[in-house]
Amino acid sequence: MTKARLVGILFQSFILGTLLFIAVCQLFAATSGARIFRYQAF
Amino acid sequence: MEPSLPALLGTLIVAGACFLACLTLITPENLRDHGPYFMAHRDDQMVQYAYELLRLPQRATDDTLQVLILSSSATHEALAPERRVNELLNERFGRPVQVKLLYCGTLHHFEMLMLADHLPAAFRGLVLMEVSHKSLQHDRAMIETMFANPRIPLPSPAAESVFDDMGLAYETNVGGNYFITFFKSYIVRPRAVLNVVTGPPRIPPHMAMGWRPPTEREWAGIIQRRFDSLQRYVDNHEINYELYAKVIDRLRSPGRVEPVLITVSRNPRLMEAIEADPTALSAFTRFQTELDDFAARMDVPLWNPMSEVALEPGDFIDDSHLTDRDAQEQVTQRLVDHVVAYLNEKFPDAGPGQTQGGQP
Repeated sequence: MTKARLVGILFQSFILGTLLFIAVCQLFAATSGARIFRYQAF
Repeated sequence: MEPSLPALLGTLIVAGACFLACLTLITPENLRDHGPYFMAHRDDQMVQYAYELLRLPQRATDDTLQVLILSSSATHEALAPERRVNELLNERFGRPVQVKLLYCGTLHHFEMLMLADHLPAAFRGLVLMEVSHKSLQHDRAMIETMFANPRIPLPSPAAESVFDDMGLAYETNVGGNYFITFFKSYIVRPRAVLNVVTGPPRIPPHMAMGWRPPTEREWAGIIQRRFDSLQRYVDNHEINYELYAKVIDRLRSPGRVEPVLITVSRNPRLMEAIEADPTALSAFTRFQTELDDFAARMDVPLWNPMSEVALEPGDFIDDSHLTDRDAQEQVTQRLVDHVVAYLNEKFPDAGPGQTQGGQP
């Protein structure tokens, strides 16, 4: 494995891993997470 | 280009590491010690309310009398900054007393109950709770929905126990881990991660001063929403008074915690609109009468320091938020007058190192 390929894998892993984590959390929160703010003010 | 197994594994490992970081870093201890870092922006009152509650036990280190003001933004914006309220109260009372303003937009009664979970054992003093027709307007289903989707990221055994007493439905917190239980509160605050780089937001004493006044069209909408909330008050007030009664009962401990109700005045422009509408006026009059009756029944004082100051429409930025500094100072002075008189009545001999009525 070349150094450039290793850097590419690490960079891709960092970006996609972070995005994957956010996406999964948003998926779980999607149905009710937004309600937290909906009731802030009347 | 071929798919890369190492990259896929790396992605899963990073996602797992993010989850692990959340599990270990987003904790009540870190929220208490580094609260502002968890705020999505400088007006993130929900997180601010949570970490201020968690910090309360650290504040009560001796027998100094304390005054906690639990309110919505209406009361918060009507008062001078906390430092000034402290200064005035200590000056007038003549003995050490510490004031803390705890507020959140439209603070609900069951959110006030969270105080019962965090009230320091050494606390002696007053707990002032704002009550308005807006905080007495929700029906049973709305209260249950709001409680099931908490804005304040803190567990509240006191609120759950009151919900049990009143037969209100709620889901028991299933996650033993704090982040898993309240992840919805944090996942909607991704901006907070940047605080690690930029530093926590600086919280100004007043938010409304930076707001834009409503346009004429927006005013019409505000007035209609207030009429609607007055109607909801008429329809739903019983269960809300019952919840306020539970809050008072939980907090009251003669010689240690004396609850007080405070209410607010609205912009005279809104009041003119209410007076011009027979239905709204009838609902508002009913609210005032029933609130007086409730305070008398619960044997708690009911203060409205704003009503003791001649406020003009121009003193407000909208229907509820006072932005004129002189008016804020006058309202604060009136509130301090009430607090000093009531502290003298309820804690006549209190001072550092003394306790009242044999209470701990």
